[in-house]
Amino acid sequence: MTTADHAIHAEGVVKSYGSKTVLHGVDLRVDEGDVICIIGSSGSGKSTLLRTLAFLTPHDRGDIRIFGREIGWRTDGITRVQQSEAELATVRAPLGMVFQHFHLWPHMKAIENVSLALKLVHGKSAAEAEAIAHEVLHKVGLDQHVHHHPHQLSGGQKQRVAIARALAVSPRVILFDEPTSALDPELVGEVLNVMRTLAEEGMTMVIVTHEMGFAAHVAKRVVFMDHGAILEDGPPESIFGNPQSPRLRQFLQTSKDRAI
Amino acid sequence: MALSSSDLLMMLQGLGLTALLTFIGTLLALALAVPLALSLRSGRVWLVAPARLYVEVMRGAPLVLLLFLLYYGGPQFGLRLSAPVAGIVGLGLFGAGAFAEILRAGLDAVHKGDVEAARMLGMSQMQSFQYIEIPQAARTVIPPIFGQSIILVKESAVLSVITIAELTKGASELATITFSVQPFIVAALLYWALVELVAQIGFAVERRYHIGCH
Repeated sequence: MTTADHAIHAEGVVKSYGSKTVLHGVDLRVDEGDVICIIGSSGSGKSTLLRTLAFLTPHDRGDIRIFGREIGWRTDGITRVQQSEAELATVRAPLGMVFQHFHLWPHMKAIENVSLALKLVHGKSAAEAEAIAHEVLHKVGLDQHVHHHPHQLSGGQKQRVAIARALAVSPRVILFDEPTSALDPELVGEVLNVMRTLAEEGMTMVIVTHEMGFAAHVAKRVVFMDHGAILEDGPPESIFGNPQSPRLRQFLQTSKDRAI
Repeated sequence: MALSSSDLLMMLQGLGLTALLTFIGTLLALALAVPLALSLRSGRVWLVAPARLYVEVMRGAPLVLLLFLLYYGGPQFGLRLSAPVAGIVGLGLFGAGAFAEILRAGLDAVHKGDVEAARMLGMSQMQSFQYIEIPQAARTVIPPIFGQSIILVKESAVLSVITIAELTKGASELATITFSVQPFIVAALLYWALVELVAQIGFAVERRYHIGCH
């Protein structure tokens, strides 16, 4: 198997802020069809890792490949230089991203949020773009809210529009950065349901989450991070049923205590 | 002694000139502020440094000095401006510093994540700027832009020192002739009316573009 077969292949990813190292040489492999949940306490580096995969946070060292193509950096002789805007956009194209705080554009209606990139980036006509936008908004259950502005939507609805916006441009992998952490508890379910449906349809997903139940039931693999490193990586049954490291056992115990 | 109708007419003409010069000066200031604000945010030292220096100088210097330099000092450097042109250029250069800071802050206030979302969807830096950042910043900067415009209306009173027959100049000439404070009171009321007009236009524009803001 060559690296080109992996959707994402990260090797030795290092990221530091000043003297504080937040990722200590992380390796992660994501294959097509994988649903991977990254769990761990706040500050363990989960979100930073996810952001480096899309080069939203540039990594200092290591190598990240998206369908075989290095993202962010280009080796020019012996020096590493950042890719041009166009190069980065091409490598990044298979990736979609859903953020903790939605980041819908507040001045645009739901349908405009979803259709803008189709028109600007994918050369769709206004009619084609709107048809696709209607389709994906229907998929996330928001037919009734197509013409609402973000401030007229609940948190759960906003996040579903954000998922529709990511889906509209047909990504091959979607990265989710704590998609339910900013939601009221009773709105978490509607977002997780949409994500569960995507997983069942075979979408490749990498999800940073605190929802242990979701990770246990939907993930194909669960990755546990602590202090900027991956401590355990395996199927949910072994991560939740047979944790190896004391740190993971402690983490799971704490989450369980909190859930009651 | 009451003001005659010709006195009042003269003051209204002064008001008209104040309004006209301030309006053109404000447009000039906004036009200059855009490249200044972009330079301030460029992250490139050779753009940031001169723009920052310009803003600080304009913030630190009184408008009246700038007008003296332009109108009385200009000819020494081969720059001969008529009084109204010197007044407009002075207001424009002066206002640009303040407007540049407002525009910079408005663009900075757009959430970084909104831009990241655009980039993740494949939009270029220019597309993100045009469709995501500018429309949001425009909403944020409307109130301070009008606030600063009101300051320029009032600051324009110092245009009287370079012989422009605007409202303050008219009032002080009438006061000298009539030995009365009445012209100053009338001038104050007329300034207030003009400022109120600008403020109301500002509120109307703000309401018009309010959609989507919190």
